[in-house]
Amino acid sequence: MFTIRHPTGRPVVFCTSRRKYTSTGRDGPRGIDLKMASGVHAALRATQRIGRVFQFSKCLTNSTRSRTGDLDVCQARLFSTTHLNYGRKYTDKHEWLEMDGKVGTVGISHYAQDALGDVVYAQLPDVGQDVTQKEECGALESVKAASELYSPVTGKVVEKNTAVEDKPGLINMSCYEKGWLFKVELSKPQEVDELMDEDQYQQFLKNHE
Amino acid sequence: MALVMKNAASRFASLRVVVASRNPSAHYSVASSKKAGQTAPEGEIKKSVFISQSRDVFSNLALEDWVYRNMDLTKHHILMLWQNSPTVVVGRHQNPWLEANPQVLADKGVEVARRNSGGGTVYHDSGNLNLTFFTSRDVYNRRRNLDLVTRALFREFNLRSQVNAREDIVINGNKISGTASKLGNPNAYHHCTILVNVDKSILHDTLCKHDKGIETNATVSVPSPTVNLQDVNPHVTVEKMLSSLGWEFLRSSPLSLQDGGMDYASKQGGFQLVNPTEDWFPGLDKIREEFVSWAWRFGKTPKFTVTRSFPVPGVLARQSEAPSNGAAEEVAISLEVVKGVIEDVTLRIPPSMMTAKGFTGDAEVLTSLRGKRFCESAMEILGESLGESDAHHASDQDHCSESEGERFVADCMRQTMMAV
Repeated sequence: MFTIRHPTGRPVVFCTSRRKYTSTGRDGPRGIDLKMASGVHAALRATQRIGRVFQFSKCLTNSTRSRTGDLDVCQARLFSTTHLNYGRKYTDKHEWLEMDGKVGTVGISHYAQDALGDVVYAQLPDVGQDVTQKEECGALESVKAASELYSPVTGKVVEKNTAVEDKPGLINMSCYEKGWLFKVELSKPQEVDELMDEDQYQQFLKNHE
Repeated sequence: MALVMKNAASRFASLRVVVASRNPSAHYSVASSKKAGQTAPEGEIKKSVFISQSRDVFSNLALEDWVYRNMDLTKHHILMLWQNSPTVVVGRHQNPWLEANPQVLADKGVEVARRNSGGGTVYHDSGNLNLTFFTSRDVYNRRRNLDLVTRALFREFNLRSQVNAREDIVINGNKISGTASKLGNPNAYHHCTILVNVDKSILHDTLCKHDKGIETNATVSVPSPTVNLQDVNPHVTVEKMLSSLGWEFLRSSPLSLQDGGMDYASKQGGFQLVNPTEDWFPGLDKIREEFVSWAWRFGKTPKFTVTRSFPVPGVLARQSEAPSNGAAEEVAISLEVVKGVIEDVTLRIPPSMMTAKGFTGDAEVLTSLRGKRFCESAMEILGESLGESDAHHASDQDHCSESEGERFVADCMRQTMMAV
């Protein structure tokens, strides 16, 4: 038992009566802002990059409209970034999902990997494991922080990216391609409709800055 | 006394835990997440200090997890102060066999625990104080918490400390505090240790690293030179440290860390002595059980391979097939361990140890090891196989050297596991 003294020297009395704490349960889905401790820098870098992404985004909409024209400068730059993909869906926890038939591939967004910093360990769900939308299904560790991974959809894991387990840096290097995390066979395909598309996600990031 | 009473009253007010049931029909949409993600204005956030009355590491880790999982931290920031009886605590994705020295742990009665946060292995005893800063994830900021600690050190003990690039707190380059954190949704926490007067000889012995022949991609600790605060300033005690950190937390504004003095502190939730028990925190026992379980402490270890080689003693090597260059041949053993269970055993026997019938004894040892927990149950199996092979061959003169060979191999196996 500790005694705490008020800095003025007066003793402080504690209320040590037994008290019931109640469990609140989770308070529904919440938005998050991946501000890491290393913090200001990561957030700043992320802001800068998002700034760039926005430019590309404009390029994309322009260039898709003039599809008949030649490959313009904007398009050329776009291909080199591979950041934007209109088939890709996002969660407010910064996971992405890309569907191929009944199977969805899951990863984390560019913004998320940037905010995390160097990923040193990836704990992925096992093949055959059932995952539930918005529930924890693994973790990514970076600079002494373990960040929970949430599944964007409900279903059964059919494949995990063992390359990422062996080399977690792939998540930083190529978060939308080589750094994918796992594949889920969806049991509730309608959940995909609840996710954000590229435009909505970019807007979501903007609102969070 | 009036002040004290007021403190007590506001403590209860701020501790009111909002019961909110999970809404299964809640939709993931930009609008709702934006609303939920809104940060409470700084003025609306209350602060409380929880002081755990337990020294049981598993109860304390369970309390940490309980608060993280169950409390609404949007308008309530909590600093939990806690201590453990001697324990080695490994990071969430670490290998306890690689990080700690099990022989020393057993001899000194030191527990091994695995926490939920990332980072490296630490040693706790009564000379160490642990701090956990709980916030909602959107305002999580490790650097802010560490700045608060360095401020407390300066205000109370006139100590000048720095936060280094690894986010450890150092004095003259020696580490006095190690940091790790866990980020989830909606909550996050950052915890750190403060070395006041830890038994440094046990710290070094338990965390002593050998070349154990372990190959893994688990998070590996970064050893740093440490110093006890008491060696820098003899006036520092755990009790004073706890008090000064608590007050510093209460008198600083939650986001911008502005010093509000004792006036501000007296308006906060105050100090709460809490008992991490099922009565106080319903559901805590179940979480504690999980932390104590073998499956969490050892089974959670990332896949690894232990490889060791042993030179074959001259008497066992058959002269005719001994290498002509005079170099000793080796028995090589390799164990692949997945989720703490031996999945594969590879044994390489040099030709000089093979008899005309081949090396027969090992198969039994090898197959019986598969599927066994690393490493205590595997040890028992080894002992049994060894005993059996002795009985089978004791009377048979022809098999004498064969059983000696088996014994040697079994011994190598044992050493492979003992060394870890």
